[in-house]
Amino acid sequence: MIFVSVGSTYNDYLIKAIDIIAKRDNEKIVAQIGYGEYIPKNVDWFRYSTNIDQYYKNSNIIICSDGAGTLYRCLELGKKIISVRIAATQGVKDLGRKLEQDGNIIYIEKYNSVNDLVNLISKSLIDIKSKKIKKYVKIDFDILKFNKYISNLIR
Amino acid sequence: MIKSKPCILVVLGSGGHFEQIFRLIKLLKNNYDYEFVFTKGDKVAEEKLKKFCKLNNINIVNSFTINKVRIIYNSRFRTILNSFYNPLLAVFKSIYIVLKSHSNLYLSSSSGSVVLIYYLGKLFSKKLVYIECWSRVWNPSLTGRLLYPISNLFILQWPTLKKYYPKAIDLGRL
Repeated sequence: MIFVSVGSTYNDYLIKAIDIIAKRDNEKIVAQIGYGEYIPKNVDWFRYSTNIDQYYKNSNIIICSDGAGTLYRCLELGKKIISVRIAATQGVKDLGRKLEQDGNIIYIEKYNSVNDLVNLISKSLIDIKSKKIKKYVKIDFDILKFNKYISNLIR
Repeated sequence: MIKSKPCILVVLGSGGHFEQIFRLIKLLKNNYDYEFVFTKGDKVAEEKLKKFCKLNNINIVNSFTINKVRIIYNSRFRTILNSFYNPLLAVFKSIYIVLKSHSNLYLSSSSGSVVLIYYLGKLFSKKLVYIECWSRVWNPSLTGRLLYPISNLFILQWPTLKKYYPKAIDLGRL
């Protein structure tokens, strides 16, 4: 299964492109569409879920926005990720670029139209099957140190 | 008598901002009591957090909501109209939150409205802890740059940002 997620925002370009790809390829796709206005016809969809992890886990490929919440979680699950820039929001490009540089994901940063995006995603879907994706290494948060700092401040 | 736990005011934010601070709360567990500032409109975040607190015996002393300072709507007209109304509302909400809160420590990795709460809190000599957003690798956020001078503790998740925040500490990634 391919899972598409826009996170807490929306991206109608992405959902339209996915709808076209699903019809063309006859592929099983599930999409989380946030507060987007476009409702896909060839894709199972929902707006939000408090248990989105279950969708991540059940999919082989994740196509998502470049929001950090989704990216980090899917990386930790070791998923194959195609990340698409959210055009409408002020979200940052830093993380998407960094992860592509490190070979962890495929990042689609620029696209001009829905058709453009259809082509870019189709190409990425082929690439990601053959491309060797590097495993993301997480540097764990030092909670002991953090607690020490906090108790010094509270005292 | 049971000694009461220290209380922390957490400004949560939405989307990825919420997700990182939620992870931190999972690590801090019920060593503290909490006052939460939810972002208006992010029901998923609110539901997720309240469920977690209930399951883990975490005491929520107060729940507040604050609106986003800037929202980008599908319609440009609505975006412009709200760019006047939202900041004004956020100012009043922040004053209310700071006056009503019992916490001496503020904690956040949110963006936007948190700036108001932190600057007001500073006037009441609250201790401020800010965690720069984990989506920032090379470019510091506007919120981060505004809060860096007044924060008591400023935490990074990407060491590449050290040149913008020399006094910040890097504790790894949430």
